[in-house]
Amino acid sequence: MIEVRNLVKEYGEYTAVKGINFSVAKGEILGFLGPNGAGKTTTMRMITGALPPTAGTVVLSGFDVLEQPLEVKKRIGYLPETPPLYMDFGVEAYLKFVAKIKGVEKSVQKERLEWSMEKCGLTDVRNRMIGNLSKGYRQRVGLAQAIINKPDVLVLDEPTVGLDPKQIREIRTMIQELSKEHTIILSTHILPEVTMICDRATIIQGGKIVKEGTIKDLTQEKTLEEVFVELISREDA
Amino acid sequence: MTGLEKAWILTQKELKQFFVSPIAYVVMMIFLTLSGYFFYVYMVQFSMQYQNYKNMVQFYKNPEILAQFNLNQMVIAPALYNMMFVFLFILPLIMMRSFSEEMKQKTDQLLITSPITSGELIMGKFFGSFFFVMIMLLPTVAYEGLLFYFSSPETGPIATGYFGLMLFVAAGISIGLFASSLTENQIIAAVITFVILLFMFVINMVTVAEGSWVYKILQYISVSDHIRNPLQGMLDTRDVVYFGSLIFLFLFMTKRSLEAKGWR
Repeated sequence: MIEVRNLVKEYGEYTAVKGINFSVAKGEILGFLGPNGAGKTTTMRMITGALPPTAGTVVLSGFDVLEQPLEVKKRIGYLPETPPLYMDFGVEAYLKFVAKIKGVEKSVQKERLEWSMEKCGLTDVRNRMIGNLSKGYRQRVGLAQAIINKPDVLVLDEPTVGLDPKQIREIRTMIQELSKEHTIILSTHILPEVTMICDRATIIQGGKIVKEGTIKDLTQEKTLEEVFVELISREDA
Repeated sequence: MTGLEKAWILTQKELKQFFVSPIAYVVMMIFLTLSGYFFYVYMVQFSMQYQNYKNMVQFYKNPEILAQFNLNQMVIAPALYNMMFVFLFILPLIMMRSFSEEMKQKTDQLLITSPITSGELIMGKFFGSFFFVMIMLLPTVAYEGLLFYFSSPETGPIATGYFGLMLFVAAGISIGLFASSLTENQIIAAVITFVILLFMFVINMVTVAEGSWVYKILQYISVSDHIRNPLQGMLDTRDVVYFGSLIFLFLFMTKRSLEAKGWR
């Protein structure tokens, strides 16, 4: 479903991502782990076409992100770290705009709108202005925005950050439910989250992949946290 | 979905954003108050001078004097000219939000990962802002309506005057789009737009030998020389071409500026 090959991103002298390779199969949930500044967000932005890579390529559903960006963008849903919300729009009006701009067929627009709002628990706040919503609800609108075009691939950048425990649980259930129809890449700092919802994990550090594998394999001898901390501190030394 | 349809979706979104934000109403109020004030001032001047001339006609017993009186020349053209100057100040305020706000609020991340091209986005934003200014300009037609009610001004010069104003506004909008694509800071975007616009007005003020090629170039670049004709009722293709190329240049530069940020 997604093939990432030799992805490199340089910012002048600084190299944020140093040649990353991985692939995600259909219906899989990949957890993207790493300390702050490891290059998680940069990699995700390159996958979605928001950021042009310095070298390397991403192929998504058979389309190259550099050669056919529009085809890739039609098949992708992206929730960035900061949900891209128009604060002075109502929830429903905003999602309607997103559906249109993502090219959702007119005949199914209404249905999709209801579906995404229902999935993300937004039906009660549909007429509220986004600027007046709490952080948790904004995150949900962000998620609804990402799934409204029923994309092949969902890219979620720290979807549970800043939410309260109850909301985190709701979002997790939602992600698991969504994985039935979508391939998901999600990044997070919260390790138990990965063990709970992901099929596979990729740990990156300093722009390179330091470990990857299925959750089962990774947690055979030690907990994921131990594996993670060990890898990170080894790189530091 | 065709490119035009996608641009239209963005135009609608732009327009909607204008009308849900208080800036739109403040800017509209400023514009209508000032343009109404200017119209009133010229109207009063006109009627006072008209009284004076009437007295002169009686004194010299020469009715020809009144024939010099022209409502278009004395009221409409200067009122439109002043409206243009008001635009010089408010276009930066209208345009500063455009791309800067999207970048600041990170909503550009939504647009860049949506299946739209930079060209469609720019077109959408351009027409959104253009229609907004047109809506703002619409009530000023009432001033001319008033003149038609009490007198009989010529329609032609009014039409070319508004057309010239629209050309100027379109050029200002493309400059504003370019400026706001450069920075996420709205104040900086507004200042850049204002400086470019103002500079386009005063560039022909430099003293260079009249008739030299530098002089000719500066005259050609300057907005003031190209806006005068349409506002006074003369439509010249050269002026239309001038504004057309100005709009094209800045829209093209906007596209380039977006491409530098990873847009395609």
